Amino acid sequence: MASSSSQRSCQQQQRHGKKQPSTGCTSSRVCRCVRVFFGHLFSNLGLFAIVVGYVLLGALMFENLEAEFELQQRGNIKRYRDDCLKELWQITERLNVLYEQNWTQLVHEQLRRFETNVVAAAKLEGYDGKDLLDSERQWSFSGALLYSVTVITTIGYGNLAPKTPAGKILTIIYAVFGVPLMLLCLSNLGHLLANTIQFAYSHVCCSRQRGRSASRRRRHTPCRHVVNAQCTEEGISPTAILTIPPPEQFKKRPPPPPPRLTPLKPKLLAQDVRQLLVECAEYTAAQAVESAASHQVLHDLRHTDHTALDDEDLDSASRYHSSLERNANTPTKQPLIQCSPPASVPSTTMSSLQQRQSCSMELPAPGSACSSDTSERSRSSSSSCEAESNNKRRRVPVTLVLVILSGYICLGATVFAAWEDWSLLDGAYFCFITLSTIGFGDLVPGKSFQRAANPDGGQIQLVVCCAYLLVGLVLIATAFSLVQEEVVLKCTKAARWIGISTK
Amino acid sequence: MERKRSSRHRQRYRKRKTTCDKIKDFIREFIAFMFSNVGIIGLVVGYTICGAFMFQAIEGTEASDDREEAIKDIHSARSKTRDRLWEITQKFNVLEEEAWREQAASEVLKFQMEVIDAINKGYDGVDDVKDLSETSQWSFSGAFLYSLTVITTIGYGNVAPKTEWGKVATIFYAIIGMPLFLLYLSNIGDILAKSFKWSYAKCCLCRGCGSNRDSRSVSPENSVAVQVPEIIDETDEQYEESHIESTLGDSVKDDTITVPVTLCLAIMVGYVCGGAILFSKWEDWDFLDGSYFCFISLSTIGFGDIVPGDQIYASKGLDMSFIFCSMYLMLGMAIIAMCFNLMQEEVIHKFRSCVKAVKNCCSCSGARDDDVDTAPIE
Repeated sequence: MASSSSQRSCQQQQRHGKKQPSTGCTSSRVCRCVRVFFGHLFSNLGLFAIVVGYVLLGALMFENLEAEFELQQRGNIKRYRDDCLKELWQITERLNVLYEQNWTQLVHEQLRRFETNVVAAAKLEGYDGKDLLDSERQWSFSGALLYSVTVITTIGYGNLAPKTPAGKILTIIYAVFGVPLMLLCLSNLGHLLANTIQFAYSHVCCSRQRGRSASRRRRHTPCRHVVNAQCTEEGISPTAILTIPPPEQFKKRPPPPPPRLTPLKPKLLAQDVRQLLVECAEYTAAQAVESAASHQVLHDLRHTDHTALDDEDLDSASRYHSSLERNANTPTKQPLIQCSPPASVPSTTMSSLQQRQSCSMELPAPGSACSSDTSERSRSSSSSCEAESNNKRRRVPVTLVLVILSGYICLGATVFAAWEDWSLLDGAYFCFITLSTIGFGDLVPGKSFQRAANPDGGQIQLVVCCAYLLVGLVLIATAFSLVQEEVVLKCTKAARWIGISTK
Repeated sequence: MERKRSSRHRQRYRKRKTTCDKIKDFIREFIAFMFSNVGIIGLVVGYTICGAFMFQAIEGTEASDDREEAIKDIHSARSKTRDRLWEITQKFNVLEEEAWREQAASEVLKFQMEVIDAINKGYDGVDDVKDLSETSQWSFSGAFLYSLTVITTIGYGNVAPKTEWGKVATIFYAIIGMPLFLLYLSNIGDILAKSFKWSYAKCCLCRGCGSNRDSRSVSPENSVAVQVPEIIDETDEQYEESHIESTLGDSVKDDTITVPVTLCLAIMVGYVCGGAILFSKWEDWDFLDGSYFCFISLSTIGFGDIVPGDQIYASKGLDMSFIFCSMYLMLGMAIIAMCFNLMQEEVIHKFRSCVKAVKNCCSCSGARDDDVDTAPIE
């Protein structure tokens, strides 16, 4: 196939490290993207269809099982009422002379007994106060649909709960298969959506930056594939650092030697860079490449004390950095730490540093050990989207994700508050309790249809509630998968700072 | 030379540590302990207790106000119905059953509606205002169970906040409490899983039964023998197993022992059944209700239709059942976390191979993105 052969030529060229025009590979890239997308979509769509089918099936089953019992309950209440009336009549008949005191006392007892029965029915059996002749049922199809959704998402409202033994057993079995299915579907959809959003975000972000950075160098296609491949995996693989080919300005030099780690001065390194180097060293040690040097570096890195730098160290740091700039022996021929970017060093070095930053590794701002104004400059240049040329996965900020989630909750709050005649706080409370899968069930949409004129309005509200719920859970799964790495990193940093993690 | 100078410098710097630093170190160690393995149990319990006090303070008074109102409504409804019935009875000079019944029936129906309204307001059969405080839903044990259901996301709903402040407090309490509980689950699940694997391996060795050979898992001779810093939630499976290998001794060098999935399932089912038996004895439920309750609670669905201690005419024996229920839930969720931890390797692998098979069948894609740096396929 033409696409695969062009793909193969792409791969061969990448392996030889040659630069090549990006247009030749575009069609194959697009083809592959489309294929991958449809592959994902199909598996996700299939899963989603399975979940929808499962929910509908559950709704049918539960409606059949429980609707009868509900009608039976209403019949029971009617029976209690009739019994009460019969007793009252008998009291009235029995007393030949009606003394108010006697009569009222006996009537009072009867009423109390009746009331106890009603309370027991309402609390234990789920009686909702409706009459036998009323057409609305709690266990209508949409009610059972909401019930099934709450079971497999583990929200579990409880305003509708199975009362028949068959219903309870079926609920258990339904949940045993439905909960993992739902979790799977949610995580898949969440990943898909998260990738889409991250892709879109990086494109939007970079199209804005591209206007400002017209003078920057062109994309470097081989880098993108290599770095993409490793950066799409969970976490970072050290090969991403070691196999980045040299940027354009160094193309006059011969191809880089196989990656080696120089005997850096470990104690000058900031803690996280040190961690990065430890991982690299471990990886190369594991690969048995340059074992002596890498083990030595590993030893140095691990057994140095990384307490605060003092002035003497800063001096030597700047001297060391300048020496590094002259003859850095790192794979990209760039020093791993850029303190103050001198005029001669173009901002591309910042960008390659930024690559590693966006490769799910939080390096400290390069100016952390240096004066503040240089750190400002480095930070501003590192925020450039040059990284985009080498790494598409630009991180979506946590605040944006939180804003989206809060917006969704507020949207739901306003809609439900308007429909159900709740206050805004009640609506927000309902949305939060639902989306966090706590699901008390004290406030559930559709209850107001008991008071509403048309009974059908309640059904629509239930279905909308189901849809809101499912979309909200997918959004939460997306949010988790977008921010999870960053949050875990921040937590481990905090943990390390506190001193939980042992060295 | 330079290193010696700076180390002497550092020693001088260290001597300058004040009591402030010592206090900071102590606080750090304390926080480290609290968030680490055993301390997190105490943290979760403490958080729940604080929540119980908070919710009791917020909701207790309001709830009793509402219930007082409901009781008053019931009383007035009763007297009103009674008086109306008396009027009806008096009206008829000659008592005809049919006519009397018709009129009395409408009165009783009205009474029923009012009872339902009172139930929605919070009436639960307790008649006397004096008895309210003893049978309050928001007693300490009730509030404790409520807080626990919030942070575990079970969310029964039989006890739910009715005041605005209660609802806002619930939201913030949940935002902080849910990650805390997840941390508890992952930590305790890890510990339980490790110790269970270890004791299972010991049992297996002692009995001499064949270990489950798992060809996918990394055999220790290939994995890097490095000291991985023990970071929370980041213990890699292969390092964990190499640790287990080192503790197991020389006899099991080439294989990692995985606990079979059936054993994990049996543990979970056994826990649910055990709870069912206990609860059905204590609460006078039948076995089905007990196992239904245990399953619904442990899966965090939490309907709240059946809750221990939630009798209509509550007796004084409420407190013990709430506390026992909370302990059962916490331990149960930790055991489920442990079982998931133990099962996850097998299940994920099996599922991934299933999904791959499906994907390969359906999408017919040849080279994928992650094959870039491998040899070409054709």
